[in-house]
Amino acid sequence: MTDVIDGLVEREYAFGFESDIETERAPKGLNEDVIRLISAKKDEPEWLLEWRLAAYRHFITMVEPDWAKVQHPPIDYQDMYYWAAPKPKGPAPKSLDEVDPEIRATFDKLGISLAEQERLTGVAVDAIIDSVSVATTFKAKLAEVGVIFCSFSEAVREHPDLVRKYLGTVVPPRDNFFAALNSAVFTDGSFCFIPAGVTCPMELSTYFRINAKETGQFERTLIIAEEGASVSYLEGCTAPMRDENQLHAAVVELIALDDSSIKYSTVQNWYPGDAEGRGGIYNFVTKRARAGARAKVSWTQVETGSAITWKYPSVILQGDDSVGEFYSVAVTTNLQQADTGTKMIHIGRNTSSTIVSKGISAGRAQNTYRGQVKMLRSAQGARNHTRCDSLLIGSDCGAHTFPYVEVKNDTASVEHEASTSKISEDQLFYCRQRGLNEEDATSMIVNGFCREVFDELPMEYAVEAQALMRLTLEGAVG
Amino acid sequence: MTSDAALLERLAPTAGVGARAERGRAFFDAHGLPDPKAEAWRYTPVTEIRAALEHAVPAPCGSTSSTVADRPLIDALAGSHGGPRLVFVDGLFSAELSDVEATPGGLWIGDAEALRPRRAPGAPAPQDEPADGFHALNWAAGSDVAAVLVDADTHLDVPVHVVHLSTAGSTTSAGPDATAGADATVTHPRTVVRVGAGSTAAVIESFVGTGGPSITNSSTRVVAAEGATVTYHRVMSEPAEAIHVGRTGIEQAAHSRVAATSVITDGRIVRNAVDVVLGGDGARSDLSGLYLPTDHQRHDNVVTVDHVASHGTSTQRFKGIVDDHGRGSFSGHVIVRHGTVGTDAAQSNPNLVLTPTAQADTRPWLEIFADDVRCTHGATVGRLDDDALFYLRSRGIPTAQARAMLIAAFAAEVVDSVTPESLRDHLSTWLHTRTVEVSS
Amino acid sequence: MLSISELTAVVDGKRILDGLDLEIAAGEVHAIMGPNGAGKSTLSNVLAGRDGYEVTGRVTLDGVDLLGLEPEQRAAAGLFLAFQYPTEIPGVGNMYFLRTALNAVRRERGEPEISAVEFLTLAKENMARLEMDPAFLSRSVNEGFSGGERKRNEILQMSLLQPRLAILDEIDSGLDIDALRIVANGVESLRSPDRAMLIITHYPRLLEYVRPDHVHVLTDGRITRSGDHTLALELEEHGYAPLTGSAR
Repeated sequence: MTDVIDGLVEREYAFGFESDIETERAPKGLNEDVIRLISAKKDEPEWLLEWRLAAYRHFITMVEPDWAKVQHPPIDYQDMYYWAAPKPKGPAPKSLDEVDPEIRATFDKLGISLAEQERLTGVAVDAIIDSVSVATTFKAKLAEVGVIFCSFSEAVREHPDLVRKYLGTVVPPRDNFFAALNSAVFTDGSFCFIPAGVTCPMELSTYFRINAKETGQFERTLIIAEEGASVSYLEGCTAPMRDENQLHAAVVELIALDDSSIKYSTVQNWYPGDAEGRGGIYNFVTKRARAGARAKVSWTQVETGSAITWKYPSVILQGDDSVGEFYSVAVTTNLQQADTGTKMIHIGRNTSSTIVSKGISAGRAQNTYRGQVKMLRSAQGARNHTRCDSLLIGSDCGAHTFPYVEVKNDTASVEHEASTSKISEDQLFYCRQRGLNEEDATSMIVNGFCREVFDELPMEYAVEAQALMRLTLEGAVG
Repeated sequence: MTSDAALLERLAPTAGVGARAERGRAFFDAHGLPDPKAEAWRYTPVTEIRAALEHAVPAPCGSTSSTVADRPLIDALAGSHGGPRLVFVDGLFSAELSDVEATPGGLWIGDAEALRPRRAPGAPAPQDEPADGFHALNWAAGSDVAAVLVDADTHLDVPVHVVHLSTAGSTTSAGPDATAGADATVTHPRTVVRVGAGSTAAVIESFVGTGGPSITNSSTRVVAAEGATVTYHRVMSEPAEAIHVGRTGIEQAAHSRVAATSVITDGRIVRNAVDVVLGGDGARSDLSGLYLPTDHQRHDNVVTVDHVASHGTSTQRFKGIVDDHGRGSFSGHVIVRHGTVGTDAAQSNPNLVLTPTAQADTRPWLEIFADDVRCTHGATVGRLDDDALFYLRSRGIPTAQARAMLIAAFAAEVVDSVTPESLRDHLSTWLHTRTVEVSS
Repeated sequence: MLSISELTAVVDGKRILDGLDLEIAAGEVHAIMGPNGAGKSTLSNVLAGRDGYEVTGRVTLDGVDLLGLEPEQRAAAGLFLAFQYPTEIPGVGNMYFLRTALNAVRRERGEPEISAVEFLTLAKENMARLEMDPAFLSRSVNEGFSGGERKRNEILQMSLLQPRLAILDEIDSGLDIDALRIVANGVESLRSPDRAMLIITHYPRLLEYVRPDHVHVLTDGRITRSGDHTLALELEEHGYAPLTGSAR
């Protein structure tokens, strides 16, 4: 067993390389001038600049939240860059062939071959390095059915009315400290719009890559599914290995109008820091959805990276009969800290939600599930079922479960169950008696433990997630 | 708003002699009452309690006998359990209402004064800190102590009954500071139960009142030495206008077993905090509770079990039934410390919501810093089972009666496990009356 | 093939096995019988390498010292334990598990790994013999299986892994008569001159279907009597009482 734990603790991060891409940056620090510069660089309309400045003015009155079970030295918000972009080598690329070869090579190395993606996999990808979207594939094909899938900046230019109508309607700029910061300085992100009645013909995917040093990443994603529309969206994230901590404070807003369906999947593998806890991404993310009548929003997340993860993908179940789901696997090793979960706010009648959370903690890591289920008086006949299980590997890690359940009417029903234990000695022995070594047995049992969540991922990403889990546990060799 | 310092002067003006009172005063000076936004106080309406305290007066001093209290009243309110009984009226020990004569060998009960000869000379001053501002206030007030001391290797076959009677609102001599109207009187009961190594003992603590707006700020400490087996039942049944902030601290040495039940039968605002520390190897804690807020009552249970030592077992089973505009809450917290092994902990909190305006909150929390554990928790919130109700009605049972049967069945799990039988009967009678009330 | 000498096992200060000796040659089927608490399950656990026992003595399989090996190394050396209570492993598909186990053992033996298609064919053949529904392959390992299904799953694994030494721990417990027949036929079909079997059982019933070459009685942690299959019949008639410590 000790070997397995050692291995877990010593696992290597596979995406830690740094690309030599020439970068253009705003001056270090945060002030109104920097915000004006970001807005100007992106050629934004006046209303958006004002929106950012209002968020900033509120942000400076706020204090960083301290209720999460995470510890880190104070973040100096003046000691980082708020805007970085790969320097364009000439005019903007018209097609994938014109994308900077170094950038394409970066994505090839990450296993996201932009060209191949376009030819083979049939998944539309928006690739984002640092603050800027560098390529979006399949745009034309999607446009045929009226689906808009582009970078956020492009959406501001090409579809300003849609952006203005929905931006900040689910996560208002003043929602919380990190959301306010993001609203002030967000740089790019993805924008998806699925018109009424359309089922998006392919998976949409955004790949986020932090490359530049000392730079925060603040992307903003907005997905709108009109009445009866449906879409499945996936995001992936990686960053180079560095001794410094880098801040990632994203905001994701999902608007699911009546009868629509949005499935949002995340495979988060930001750099987690080294075995001594040096470096790694601080991942402070606000993700929230609003569901209309009979709409369905499903969050699935596989969180393996980041030094600190602070995120609670939530659903406001506003419309009657709407459905919210949250499926999560969070793995922490070494000195990683994760405080993650969800909020299900039941407002409409007969709304229902399901929460399945699987936490795995190893090394000296701390892994916390924090989830709120709220049944308002109006939520007649609402239902929730929550299952959260934690697995501990090694005696120096922690696993914590903090549910908050509030029920304000007598027709709602809530069931919450949870368990925490170490990996079963019986299961390990059974596998080993059949000839599996301890590491393979551990990996197999852990994957089985997470199966319910992996099953929710789109097929090709389920494979990727299992491979990632395996990689996470693969350090066990030795 | 009155400052914390002024509150202290008002509620604990002169009393508070001794080291413990000093510690309480120092803590209160430093921290005051809890921040209403603090997680542990999320469901206790601290602001409302504070407002009541600002208009409250300390319970009258000096009158050791009460004109309203007699033995039949105590029996009716708190039940009669056949063993030694300690009765405190408005915070003061009442020798004439107590039964301390026929105590079995190895048991020592009484107020602090009565047990003074038992105190070892030169005993060390207390080193512990109050848990929060209310607890500190309890210490600072330096009220009379109800003490139940059991020697080592002593097996008691009758329970010790500690009764705290509040006659606030029905007494006429509320003291010179009393202002007219519904100003509450405040008492700070303090109880200490110490059970020696290898001994077996049961203690029932009843909080009762004769009506009127009383505020009880109680503190009970249960110490179980190595191998001791302790049963502790806490029945909080003060009148509908009463406020009670209570804390029970349970300290357990190796291989001790403590079973503690808390039942909140009434009270406008009741906080029932239970803090257990399993400090010795192989200790076991079984906690259960039942609460039924109705009207606009708030009943809040805040339970912490801290597994400091290895091979500990703990169970928590709290059941809530919320009626009318009542709000019932449960915050259960299991902590398993780094370096411990062989921990087994289970938590459950089922809730029944009887009306569209009632509210139930549940927070079953696990905080685990060791891997050799088996911890589970479950919480549910829902209404009466429609199928079961239909089944009973289809057999000819009227709706109200069918509801009462199902509610009683839901609560029975907690009440039925109570011993001695006299207390179980006392609670069953109450439960029967209440279920009929809430079902009609 | 299997040689056990002076085997003792202590758990929590209690001596469960107390100097047990046993020799099993290739091709032989031995049965160990004994009352509850005699140490039967401890014997199978100790042979398979389960943690939690203080073990002394000597055990060799084909001359290889077993006691120094990890459980998976013993499996690779050809030891198979059919569990009395097969463990549930939620979320892990039965087929995936079986193939991973088979390939792990094949790798150890220097044999090539088997492909998914080959495996499926092989598994289905064996399952047909055990009258198992192919749907078993897609379910999680032992999860939600009935007692009989679990035991058949154990025999299926044994037939795929083709061990040198098979230890069957109470393989008959919890089986109805039909399931017992199927399981016994499965075991009988795996009898071979290259393979030894050790059947641990409480009841003589199984031995009517799988006739052992030798029967041993285990009481108080050691073998107190040995004989041929008629010993089982004798036990059925008189019980263990004349053999246990109380009668000595």
